[in-house]
Amino acid sequence: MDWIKAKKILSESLPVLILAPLLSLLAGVMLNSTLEGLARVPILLTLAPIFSGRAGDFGVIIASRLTSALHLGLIPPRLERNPVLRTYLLVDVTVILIAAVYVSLVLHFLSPVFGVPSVGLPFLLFITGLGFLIIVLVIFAVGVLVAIFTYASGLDPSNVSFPIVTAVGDVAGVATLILISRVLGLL
Amino acid sequence: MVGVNRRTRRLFTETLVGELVGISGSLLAGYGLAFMLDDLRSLPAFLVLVPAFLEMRGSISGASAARTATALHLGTITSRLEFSEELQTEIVVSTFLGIFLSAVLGVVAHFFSILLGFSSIGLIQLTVLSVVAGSVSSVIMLFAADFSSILFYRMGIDPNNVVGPYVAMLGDIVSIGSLFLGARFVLWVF
Repeated sequence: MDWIKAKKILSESLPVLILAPLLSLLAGVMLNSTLEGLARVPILLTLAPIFSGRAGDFGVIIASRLTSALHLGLIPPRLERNPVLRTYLLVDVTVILIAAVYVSLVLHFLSPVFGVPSVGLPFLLFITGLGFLIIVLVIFAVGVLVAIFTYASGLDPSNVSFPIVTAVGDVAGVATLILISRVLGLL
Repeated sequence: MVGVNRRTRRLFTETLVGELVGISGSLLAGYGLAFMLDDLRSLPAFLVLVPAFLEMRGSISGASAARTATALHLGTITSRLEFSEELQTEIVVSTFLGIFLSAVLGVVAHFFSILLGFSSIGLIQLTVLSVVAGSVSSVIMLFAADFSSILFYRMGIDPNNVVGPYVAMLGDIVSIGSLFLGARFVLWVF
């Protein structure tokens, strides 16, 4: 047991490991305030980790790709239009729309097996398609900012930036899900 | 995709595969939540805790797996599954973090809920629920994240490329399962 090393890991990671879940508590608060609605339409509760997960995943994917690209000098550390960013965005939007179709199909056909009634395939396609699209666009911006910040400050992305990005993803994901469900009159 | 170069196609395929793995984990976690609906309703403020608990679990296991992968490459943790000093440190640190932060989250989730005018099952109850779930998931994820990195490395697979999405997927499922056990424990004791 190496106590010096243990102390180093703890002192580096504790602040972020406390701060990030505190941010995620906001997502929990939003879910909790709609609990009765979620109980009426439980498939929305099933969608909650999926929305949060996608937002967190894409945030980390974008931030880590850009951090590497910045270190390699592929893109300049400035906010401007450039072909690398455009390719990333196109790839991510395509992937997320395929993911939306996958989630909708699985949810529609598998949910009754788990005792969770479906709200219909068109509804699911609309919620996930629009929701994922909003998430990618919002989180893309977050990822770009975080990458530039991480690059400029010289922080270790896996210890500092990524936990914060996944926490922001939790909040963005749940907020998007609740918003769309409200607009569709499901909640 | 016509006119798309090889690098873009590879980027697309890797992102898509990673996402489909991640979504499958989130789907199971989502079904787990729907399955716990009765417990979520009978234990007020429990749901406030859920996303934060998942986030904490993911951050600890992800970072721990990444450190183990680096140590394997550097040779400070060997693939012979012996309890080297480095591995002992990793086990102690990630277990301590998992249990300590669960307690912090339980306490904060309780006061957060009260402050915002929600009801809560109570400070002790919510903290016990979180700590039980934190302990169970710490032990499972220790084997799932760190020891599986070692196994991947032994099989000649670079853990850096596999463990990220795999740990995230497993972390979601294990967290929801552990939270369910924690909830059952609290309902049984109190």
